[in-house]
Amino acid sequence: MSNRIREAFDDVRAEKELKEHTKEYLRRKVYRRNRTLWTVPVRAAAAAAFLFLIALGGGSWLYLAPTAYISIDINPSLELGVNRFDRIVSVEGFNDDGVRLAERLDIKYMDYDDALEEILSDQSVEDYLAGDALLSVTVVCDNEAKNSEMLEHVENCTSSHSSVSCHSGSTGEMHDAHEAGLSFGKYRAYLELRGLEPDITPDDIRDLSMREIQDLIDSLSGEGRESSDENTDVPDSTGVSDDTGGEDGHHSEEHEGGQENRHRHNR
Amino acid sequence: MKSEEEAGRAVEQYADLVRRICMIHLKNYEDSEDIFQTVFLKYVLRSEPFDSQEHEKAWIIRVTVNACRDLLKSFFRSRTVSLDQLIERPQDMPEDHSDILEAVLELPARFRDVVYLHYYEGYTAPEIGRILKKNPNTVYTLLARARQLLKTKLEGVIDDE
Repeated sequence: MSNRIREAFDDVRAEKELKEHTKEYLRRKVYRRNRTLWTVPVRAAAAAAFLFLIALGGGSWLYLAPTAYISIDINPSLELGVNRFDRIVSVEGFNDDGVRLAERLDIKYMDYDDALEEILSDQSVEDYLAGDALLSVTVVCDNEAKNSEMLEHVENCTSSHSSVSCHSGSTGEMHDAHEAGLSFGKYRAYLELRGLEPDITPDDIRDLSMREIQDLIDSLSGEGRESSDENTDVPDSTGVSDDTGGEDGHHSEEHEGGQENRHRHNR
Repeated sequence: MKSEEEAGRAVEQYADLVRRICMIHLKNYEDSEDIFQTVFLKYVLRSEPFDSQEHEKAWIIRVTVNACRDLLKSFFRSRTVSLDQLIERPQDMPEDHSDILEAVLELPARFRDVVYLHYYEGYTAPEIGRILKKNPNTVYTLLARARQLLKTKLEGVIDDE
């Protein structure tokens, strides 16, 4: 009987599909839970999403990366980042007045021409310019053609205002300016001032207006001439100094301002 | 947890064994699929190692038998299995040995496992006792009684040992 029973049971075999279904079930239930997720459409969608993100990232980088800068200094110091499409992509204030002005201005993504107009027509800027303020606009771009083109534009924009000076420079100099914590326009003035007064530091001029710095430069160069006179002839120089004070009160004030600043620096 | 390779090997190695136990308890293929999934999922998730191949095989047998019993006991099944199905001959029964298989399958449930394990898998009564957690003497009695029943059913067909 045992032989018959053995033979009978021997004919009973697990169907191939039963084994496959079981393996598939285990695969689904236990293993490759994640792998089954990555079906072809899902993979294609993921790849598309990835490419889209790359394109988006690249596009925004192209658009948002500044390729040129415009430094605007009156008393407020502003620096505008300009992208390759001549749009403003960043507005940074370099002193308290500048930060306040940057917060108030809504010039992001504007053409830089329009943005300049907007800044020049800002009430506080107009007030500054109506007084005796000096406006310095400095263009920074490493592409020479672009640099001169922008400088030309900026000069056109500001031509209606007196006491505006336009300059251009390189990004290397601008980085030096930023390391010193100054906007580029002010840094240029600082370098000029340092030529006359080697002890001056960026901190001394950070909160001065361009007019004050310019006056300081004027007074220092004036003082340089005076002190050379002083060396040759002391009584005469005193006379000259008195005369100057008498003739031009404004100049005297500037002179005092200069003294005061140097004094602050020495402290 | 066992690797996918181990699981695949176990399915290949024990599929026929599990299939036969399913056959002696269950009447349809879908239920066998359920049992296969239950047994091999338990196998894959079992963390303790087996002492030997024999241990592993005995474990598979016990889990399969219990899974079949659980399935038959389940509320849903107890309410839905028709009388026709209960007396129906399993559809996948091989033709050649249909008489003897039929005889085994007609035995009361408690005899079928011991008959299969003894006559086909070659386990002794004490081994069957250990696998099915039964007293060896009970197994001896079940085997003797099963032999008797089969003999009666297949009189003239089987040469007794």
